[in-house]
Amino acid sequence: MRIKYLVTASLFAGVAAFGLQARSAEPIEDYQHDALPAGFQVVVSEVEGPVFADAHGHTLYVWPKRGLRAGSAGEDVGKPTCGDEVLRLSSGIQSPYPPGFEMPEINTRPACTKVWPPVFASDDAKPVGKWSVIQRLDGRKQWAYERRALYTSVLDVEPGDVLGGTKLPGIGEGGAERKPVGPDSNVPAQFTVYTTMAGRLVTLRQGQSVYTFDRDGRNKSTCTADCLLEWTPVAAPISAMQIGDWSPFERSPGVMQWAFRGKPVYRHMTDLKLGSQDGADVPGWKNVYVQKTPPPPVGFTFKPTIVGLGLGDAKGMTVYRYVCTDDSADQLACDHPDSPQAYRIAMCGGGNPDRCLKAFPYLIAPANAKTRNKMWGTMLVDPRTGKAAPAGTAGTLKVWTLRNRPIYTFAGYEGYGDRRPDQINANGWGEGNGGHNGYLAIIYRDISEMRDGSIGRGGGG
Amino acid sequence: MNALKTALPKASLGCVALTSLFVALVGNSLVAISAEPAAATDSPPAVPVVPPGKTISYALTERIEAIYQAKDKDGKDTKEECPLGLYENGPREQFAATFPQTDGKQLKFTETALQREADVWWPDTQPDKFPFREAGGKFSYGLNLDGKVKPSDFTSPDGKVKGVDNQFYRAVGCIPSYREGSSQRLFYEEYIELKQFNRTIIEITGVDSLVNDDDVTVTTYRGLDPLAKDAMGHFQPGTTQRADMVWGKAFISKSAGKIVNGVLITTKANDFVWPNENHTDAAVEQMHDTQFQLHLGQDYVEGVIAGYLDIESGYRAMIKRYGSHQISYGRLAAPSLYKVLRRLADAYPDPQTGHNTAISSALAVSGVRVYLVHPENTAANRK
Repeated sequence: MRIKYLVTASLFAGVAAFGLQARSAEPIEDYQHDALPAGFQVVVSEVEGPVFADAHGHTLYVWPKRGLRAGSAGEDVGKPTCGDEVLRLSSGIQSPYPPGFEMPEINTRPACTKVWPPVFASDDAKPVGKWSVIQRLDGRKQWAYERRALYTSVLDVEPGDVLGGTKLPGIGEGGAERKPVGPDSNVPAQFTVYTTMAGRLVTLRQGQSVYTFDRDGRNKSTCTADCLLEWTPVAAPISAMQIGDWSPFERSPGVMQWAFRGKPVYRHMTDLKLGSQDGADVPGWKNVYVQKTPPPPVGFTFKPTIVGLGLGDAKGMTVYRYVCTDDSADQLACDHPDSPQAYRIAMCGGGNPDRCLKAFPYLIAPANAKTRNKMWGTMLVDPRTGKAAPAGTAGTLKVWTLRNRPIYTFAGYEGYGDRRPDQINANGWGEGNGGHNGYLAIIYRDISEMRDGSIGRGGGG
Repeated sequence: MNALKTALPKASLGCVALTSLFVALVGNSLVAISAEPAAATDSPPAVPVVPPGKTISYALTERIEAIYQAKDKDGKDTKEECPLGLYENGPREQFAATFPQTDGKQLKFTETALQREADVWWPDTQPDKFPFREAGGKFSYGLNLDGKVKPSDFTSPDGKVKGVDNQFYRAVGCIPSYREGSSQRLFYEEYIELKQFNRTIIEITGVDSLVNDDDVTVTTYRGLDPLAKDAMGHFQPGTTQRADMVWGKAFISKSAGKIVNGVLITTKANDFVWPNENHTDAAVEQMHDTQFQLHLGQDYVEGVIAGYLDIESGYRAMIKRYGSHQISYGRLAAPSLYKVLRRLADAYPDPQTGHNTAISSALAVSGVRVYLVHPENTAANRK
């Protein structure tokens, strides 16, 4: 078995281990090596795992159609709609507001294709496997994967950048967001893999968590007798063969069990909800990740919150990310400092930037702060405008970023804010339960039920 | 009694012999819930019963604002408490009136929809340009929280208890969102079952008798496990819940109480935090000086929990749970509601401004008996 490694940190042996552990070589996710058209490649990214990329290493995205409150947005299979026209008016597809209002920063608003360049295909391009060639409205040819039109993001610069979109859990009232696309994870048919803040989490296909036990040996289970009252081995077919990092072994005569990287895999008796990770609270037992994310910078903390294991600043106060999709039909993201900040400033301060800075302060990074990964970083921002600022600009702040977007705490205002580490009072603060234009707590292990096929708070009402 | 009937679990209709209980309690100033005869299926025991370990626990299957709605003899909603009619200036109506798109002028998104959302998240106490319709009348559910009878207080619907403190009802009683049949109430019913985040357990310890006991301890926990229903869709008593001692510490609160003729009455007002997640957002509401009045059955519980709702946490929890889309269904205009909540606030004055920060309120609750397991007794920790 050949395992690829990425230098990162091992995460959380269990709830008790809230602190970061030392950096070590971590293996990366194995994927199904299906044939690719010429000029494309697979890049294993830190958060999203393996993603398709063009010849320059730029990640590929799709824009799946999604029903919103008063209509839908995104693309049907085989029908790219992201166009060259600047959409000047709001669409009204996010109830309750009607359409027809002039979009923010209209004079500099880009067309969809300026933000999401289509992956054009040559006239002689031929389909390969799930890859096909479809025709755009202007007659040009575009690559598609599973018949969904492919794009790159202007935010991605280097191979492994996946800044245009994410499969990290959001919440149900978000917009029609672009998603990175990649090969299937190389796991046996009864398993699947989800993107979480902690890493690429393995569950059974229905959503039940799986675990390994520290005391087990290589392809040898020590969980017998009373242990089996609490833990259920994940059985493998008698004819199962090795699949990537997964291998079957005979735990007792005639009974096969799956092992991941040589460690036997189990379910836990109290995981009654899909997505539950209760078993990780038992000493010696760990969830299975095919790949873990890089740790946050030194000085951040992990702490229990009312919804699960959350990220805290040095004082343990909850750290938030900001998410935003605009109200145009092309659903451009507005969560990056290069995009219009009117959305965020409306939510964090009622339109008042000074109030924003008090209620949702940036996490200030030390002058010499550096990270060795793409997930975490720093950025200079103009605190008055919220926009990214060039180096040397007076009055800028150097702030911590997650996926190249600033992160925040919630100091709030008189009478309301996060006052204790377990509080997440700004989680969901903003339009559409916070998912459309608002703040979400950064959660590494969400104790809520799995909904709509995502770990954490998916689904809407 | 309508609110409580709404709050009753389907399996427990008439779960407690309410009439006798209330007659017995008329002299107690806490009593404010009207009683109706009921076919007792889960009456308190005729002889003192000591639950195992002197402990009994219930998981709430309903927890919703107690809203009184006057009915005629046929049960039809007369809306007497809303003499001006129900509130009509919901989000869509206020938006249309504020930003008419009729004169051909191109309006900007930042000055319209985004400004409206900014007002939702950063409301103020300036006079409202849209007239509000408060609930009036004499009656309300709730408890007499301060032991006084004031001009602003209500009377229990059966007329037996004066001094009911429930200014929250005055604020929301005529907003369709809060009334029977509203989508908001349907969401409440759905999500208290579906969301484990909301799993509220009431544990009563030191119980020498489920009928009369002058000293018990009431503790709330968050449970970690699903509620069970039978094949008819009724919540089932008798299941096990694990207490959430890792993520749910914020929801652990204690109070002292007594049991009088099968009714638990807390004797020490304390602060409680209620988990309240609908849709996708985990929100919490803080209630000061909380008092319980719960009819204890061997399998079911029903009653009222009242206290002073912290306005900031209550308002924020509401707008996090419901986006402007959802509250438009019930014409709940958030900025207008905030103004009236602050205006009617009747407790916890801010030491600097003197303005009250909390408002008297009441929750109608019901639940089923569960066996609460603390972490030291779980399988993982028994070894």
